[in-house]
Amino acid sequence: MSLRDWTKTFKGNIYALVCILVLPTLFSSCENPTQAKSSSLRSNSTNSGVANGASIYTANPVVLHNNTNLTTPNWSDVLTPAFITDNFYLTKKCGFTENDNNFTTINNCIEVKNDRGVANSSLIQKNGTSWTYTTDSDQFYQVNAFYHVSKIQTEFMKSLAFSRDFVHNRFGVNIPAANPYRLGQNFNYWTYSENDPNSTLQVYSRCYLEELNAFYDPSKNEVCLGWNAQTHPNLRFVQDPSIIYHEMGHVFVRIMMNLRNQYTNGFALEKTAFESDLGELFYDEAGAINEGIADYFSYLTTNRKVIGEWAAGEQARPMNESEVQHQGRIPAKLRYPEYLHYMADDPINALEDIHNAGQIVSHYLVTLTQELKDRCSMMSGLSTTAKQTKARNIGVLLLSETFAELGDMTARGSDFLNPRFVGLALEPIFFTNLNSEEAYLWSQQVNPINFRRFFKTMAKNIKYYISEDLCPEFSIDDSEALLDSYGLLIFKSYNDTGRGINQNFPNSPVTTYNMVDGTNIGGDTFIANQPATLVNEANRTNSVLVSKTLIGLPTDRATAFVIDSQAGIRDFLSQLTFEGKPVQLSEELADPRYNNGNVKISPGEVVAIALNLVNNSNSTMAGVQILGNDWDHMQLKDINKRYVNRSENLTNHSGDIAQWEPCQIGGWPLDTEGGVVYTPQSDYANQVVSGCEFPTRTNKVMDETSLSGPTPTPRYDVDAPQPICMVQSSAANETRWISQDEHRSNLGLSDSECLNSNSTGGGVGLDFNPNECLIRVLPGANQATFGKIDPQKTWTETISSNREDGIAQLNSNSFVAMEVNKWIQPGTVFNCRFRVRFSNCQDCYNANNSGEDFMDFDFAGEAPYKVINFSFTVID
Amino acid sequence: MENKKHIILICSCLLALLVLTNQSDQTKPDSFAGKSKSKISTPMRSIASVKKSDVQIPLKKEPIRKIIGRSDLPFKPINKIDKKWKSKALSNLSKVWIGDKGIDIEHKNSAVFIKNGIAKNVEHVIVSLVHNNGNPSSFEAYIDSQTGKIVKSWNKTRYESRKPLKVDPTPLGFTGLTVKKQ
Repeated sequence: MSLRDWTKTFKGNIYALVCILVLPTLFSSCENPTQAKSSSLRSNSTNSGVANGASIYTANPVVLHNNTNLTTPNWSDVLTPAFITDNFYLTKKCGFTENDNNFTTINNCIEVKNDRGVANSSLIQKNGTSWTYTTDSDQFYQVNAFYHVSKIQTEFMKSLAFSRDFVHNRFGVNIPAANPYRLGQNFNYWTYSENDPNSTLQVYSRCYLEELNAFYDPSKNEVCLGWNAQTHPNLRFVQDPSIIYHEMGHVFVRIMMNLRNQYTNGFALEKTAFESDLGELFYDEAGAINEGIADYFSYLTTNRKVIGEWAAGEQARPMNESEVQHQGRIPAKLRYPEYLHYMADDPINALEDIHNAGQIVSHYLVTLTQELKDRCSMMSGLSTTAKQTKARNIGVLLLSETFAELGDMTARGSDFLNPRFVGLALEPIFFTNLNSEEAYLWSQQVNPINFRRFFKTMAKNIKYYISEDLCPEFSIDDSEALLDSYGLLIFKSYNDTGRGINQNFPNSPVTTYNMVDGTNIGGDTFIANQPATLVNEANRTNSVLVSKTLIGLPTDRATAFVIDSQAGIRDFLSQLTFEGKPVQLSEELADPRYNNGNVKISPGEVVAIALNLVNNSNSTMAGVQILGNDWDHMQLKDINKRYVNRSENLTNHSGDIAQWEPCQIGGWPLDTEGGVVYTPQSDYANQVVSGCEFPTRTNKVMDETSLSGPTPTPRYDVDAPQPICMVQSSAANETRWISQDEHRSNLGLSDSECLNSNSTGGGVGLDFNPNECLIRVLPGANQATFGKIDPQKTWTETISSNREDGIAQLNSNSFVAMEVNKWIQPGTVFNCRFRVRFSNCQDCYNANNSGEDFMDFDFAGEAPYKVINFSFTVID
Repeated sequence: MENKKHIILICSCLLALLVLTNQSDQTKPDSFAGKSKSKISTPMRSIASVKKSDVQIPLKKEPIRKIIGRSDLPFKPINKIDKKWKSKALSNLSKVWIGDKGIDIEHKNSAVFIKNGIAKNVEHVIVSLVHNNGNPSSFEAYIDSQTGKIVKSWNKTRYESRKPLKVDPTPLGFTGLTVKKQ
């Protein structure tokens, strides 16, 4: 071939090569599924006539057609033209205004997509200036989802901005504001993630779920509006805006709970170790509050007192006693705790569920809002829409102030004395959730947000921001009367002195008004030495407080229920994992494969225990909580001997090995049985460090200095909380109750033969505590809850007597889980000191009927609880 | 003969192009967690100004870990970092998860978690599961970098309607020893 011929051929090949490379690109852009489809999707729809707009449904089909018998969505003649967005995609960045300064999220705060199940599901884009798509198409629903999400998000931003400006700009300040001063600058007005000051909320409008449902996933920041064409061909959750608003309500709760958990340290934006969560177990009162408030956000946007008329059908949830779903059954108010297990669509069958219990919260909030609309002079003469806007502002004000304080992982509760803000040295002064190290444990487990804690804080904020400022027409007495009508006046004082603790002076609680100069940022001054505002007892006519002495284990019935079959315990552990609370088992020493299903506790088993508590009073106990976590109930025999009993320390510190003895609580154990007798001291100044009367101020287990050197020698903190189970030792004809460590030493068990030694080839873990060598209550499953227990009944009797089938279905939240070391000798007797309290408890939150609540550190000890001794014998 | 020369010429050009492309890739920075390092294979200065011994190739290091918690005091993690932490974590979770569909662990960050002065190497992850009924669930967690065990978990999925665990419909009970009448 000549060069000329080759050249010709080469050129020809070049042209072919270009065609091969370029043409597919041209064709692929037309086939891109994210692009607007061909004009056929638009040909059957009516242009909205609004630039960058579309025709949307403003409510669900049932409401729009005023027809509860609809079985298919009918959008004919009910769509309304509305602006969607002038962005190219269904995305937006969120803006926030703070003292007339405008802030915007760095990333998109919202993106609406179609199907979560499709990898890399993409965004649709508008065509020209129109978002109009064929009615009932996927794109139509994406546009509608965006409209409603954007609507409620904008409303929330405005209300949050109002709240922040109001609390920080008002005169006559009496309590420190919980909303952070730098809310806008710190990007606290939206969700954040590990690596971003603002994270994007992805909303999926056609989210396939095999069992039709809807959810909010905070770990991925996703809202899923369920769809399943096979099981529900005519229903998509996106068709019901009240459901969209409810899911967004969960997003807003998350934002408000974490208002204080992203902050600047003067140099950079930082985040606390954990985000606050409202709701830990399958059922707990925190979760119920979350659901009630999510419903309430739907009301704040729709001004309708029902949610889910279309998506939930007969299970639509009312938010007011007069709604048709109740069918006139509620004579007065949906009262706590009477209606905790109530469902409007099935009132004769009690069901412990957070959505049911949450109705008490939504009913109260809607009634409160209505009262404010009717009474406040600032509402007079306003249109319905304007009233709703003001009501929304007030609602978000109260909720944001409440949640910002209760969810604070920095444990400050406000900017008051916040060293990062006022430039003070980093002093360990804390006002909520114990301290910044243990705030997550305290707020989620030890002193979680229950009905009492939530409504007490709300009431405080109503007092200062509503009754004494925005709406004096709604007095403190009015507020207490309303709370009481719902059975929610279950606290004795407003705790508005803000008692906190300076960990450098553990015997002297600190108050906001007793600080060195009594001033805060901006020169706001607090009234010094003001006592806590007490509740007017005359207002308490429906709310019943019960003494904790009246709860306990029965003597004439089973003391507990146990799951110890292999299938049963595997199901239980699996359920916990799905609920986001996986437990981690010790290697080889306890495993479900050892479970024998004989309804006893046997060596090697992993068991779940539900204490069969009985209410011996004449009133219902509600929000019952059982704690199995480590707490301060033991004392060092010698305060100078603190080395952990483990092989490394036995070599060099054999004479200084720690020995723990049980404090005598409730008369047990006797001093002759090894119990340490002490006199409880309610005056903190009289409590001696390391003594039984001194609950740990820090909840530290190990002395960190003993672990940081080149050769760690683990040493206990002098007031270390200890695992709850002790062992009965019978030797030399005497019975003593001893620590698990002492017993395992007697048995000759090595460190690696202990539970949770973490000896996986890397040596025993440095934070190993031999006092849980034999019986270990598993973290993640070391607390249990019961919604309510009726008088003279157990929980199962409470439920079964309120159901047609007479069956009480124990839920996963009813149980705690324990590992039983396979090396335990059969016949060994254990006693585990669980602590129990409940929300409407008279003496669980303050001592001697006084107004001031216990300090946070008191919840590491005995005082707020009824100690339940659960004793059992390990049977082979 | 001439054609062969043309072919050789084309091949040489292609080879040169390959070499040049490879060189430009090597001058781009590698990115680790927040830090960038560059790998120099050929100094871009004249021979006279650079001694070979002056050319230093940085050693590949572990990514710098984020510090979570109070870090103003000296600390030393009490655990090591095991490169197989993820497979250990999957194994641990498999012991307590009986779903037919697998577990997915998405790694977000490596960190040192300091609590009460005690530091631990952890991996921040999102754990995703699919129930046998097909519905998904996720949560965030810190996983011990040595043992693969979950240290803490939070931010679980919130469903609208949920089914409780089905335990034996006839609750079994036993009467244990009570130490004292309550």
